[in-house]
Amino acid sequence: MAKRAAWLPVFVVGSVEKSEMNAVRLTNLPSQMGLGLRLPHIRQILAEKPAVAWFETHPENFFGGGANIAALEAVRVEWPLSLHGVGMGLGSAVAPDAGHLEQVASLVERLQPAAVSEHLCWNRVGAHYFNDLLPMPYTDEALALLVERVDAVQSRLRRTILIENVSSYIEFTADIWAEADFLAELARRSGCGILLDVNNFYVNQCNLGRDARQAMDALPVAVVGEIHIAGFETRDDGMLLDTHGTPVCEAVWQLLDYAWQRFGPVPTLLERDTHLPPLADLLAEVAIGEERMARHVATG
Amino acid sequence: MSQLAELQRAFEAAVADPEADWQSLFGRTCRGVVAYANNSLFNRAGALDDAYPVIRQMVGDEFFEALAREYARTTPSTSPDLNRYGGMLGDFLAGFAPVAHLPYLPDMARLEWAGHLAYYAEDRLVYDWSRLASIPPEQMARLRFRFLPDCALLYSPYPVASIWLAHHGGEWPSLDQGAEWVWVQRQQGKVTVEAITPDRAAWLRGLMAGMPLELAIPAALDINPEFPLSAALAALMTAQAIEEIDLL
Repeated sequence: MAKRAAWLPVFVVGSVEKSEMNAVRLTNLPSQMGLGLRLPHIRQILAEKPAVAWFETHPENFFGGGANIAALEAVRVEWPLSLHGVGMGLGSAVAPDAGHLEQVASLVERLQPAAVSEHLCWNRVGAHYFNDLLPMPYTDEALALLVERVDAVQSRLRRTILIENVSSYIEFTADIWAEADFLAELARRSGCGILLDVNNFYVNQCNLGRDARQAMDALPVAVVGEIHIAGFETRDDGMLLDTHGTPVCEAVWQLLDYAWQRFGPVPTLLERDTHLPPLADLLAEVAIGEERMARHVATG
Repeated sequence: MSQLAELQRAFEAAVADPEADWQSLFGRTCRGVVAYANNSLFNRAGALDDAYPVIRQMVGDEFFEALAREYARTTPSTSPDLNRYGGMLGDFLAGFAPVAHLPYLPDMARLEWAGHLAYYAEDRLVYDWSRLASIPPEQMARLRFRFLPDCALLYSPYPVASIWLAHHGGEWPSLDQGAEWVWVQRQQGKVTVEAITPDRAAWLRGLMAGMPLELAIPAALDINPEFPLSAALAALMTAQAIEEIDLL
């Protein structure tokens, strides 16, 4: 087993409302709704400065120099920012691309984001990449490898990262862990936080018959530092495809209520990647989330 | 091989042949493999959208999408970053029979890829040309120029720079007007494309290969005995293409 990371989490707050839940904060994001920042919207966002509490984006779209990173730096001046990686493939059996981690590290240094996250996935066999978030086999060997890899990333970035559960269309017969137990154990052994994607648990519930509420119950309250919601599309045979291409459905909003009840009002992000609508539509959906979150905080 | 490596290799084989029987690997969930086969193909095909807008305009949306899928089917990704995928499209088009009637297409793809790389090239500080004043004139011949990573020089037997410019609001060239040397550079965050004269191109090619100034000049003089060196140097300065000048 990899040794426990030698650094300390960066964000320690003086007073936390639910101190029994989050003695140490895993991110520096506000406990409000945020919006996934996509390149086609970035100039409009800078011009109009919409009332969104925070943004999150994929570091891969800002590697190198030029106009994109210049625009993102301008966004960073106005809003808390989260960097949500999609390319590390931490669970690949072959060693990860060191250059990729260095590029993420230089962005983290340049932007000082309020949160950094990646996925519980793999992406590569030999020299070939899938450019996808592939589900892990939930085995002891995979867990030990991921603990090592997460530790290496956290040591390089010198901060706690969050790891997100992914949507899946298959499961391996070799699995010996339940998905959520595997993730919770990874967090316990590596010291990382968890980015709880409610939509992904829902997709896995529909596709694989895993119970989304049970999965959330298996995650320790203190390690969930952020939540994601998004929309999926349905294939002809009924399989749900996690395309981030539609508005959030009612079943996922209800699971989000359940998540907020269990984990408190942690920073929650609306993601949209395909069939990108006008910014105003996304802002309206974020507002729905804010309203639901406020109701929850008022009654909770 | 570790069990994890074996499982991931088996997954790769399943994605390559999703219709085969993968029950031993995935049990009752094996019908999900098709989704990964589709993702793998469409993620890579979609990555070409960003880099090749002119190719898309030239062949039309429907053809471009079929072309991108065919490229994705035959060209694996070797980077975790999809912005790095698609760099071989020029070579692919050169061997793609359905576009054989558009012989300038491969070079247009190479031009667009050079622009794509320029767009994402690292930010560097530009050389401060006032520093050149401290170098004695008799040593100028031994200057070596280091170019910024956001510029590139290309050659095509077709007027690809003029065609590219026509797709960005310029005049349409005659296709038989012949070869062009193309200077591609990012300026103020935008990719610029320019056809340059063969003498200047020959000189730049030498400089970009790391030749000192004196060794880069003869190739230009071979093409044009009146090669205007000081104008070419002034253009290089105005273009802000140089990161550093070393004295050999």
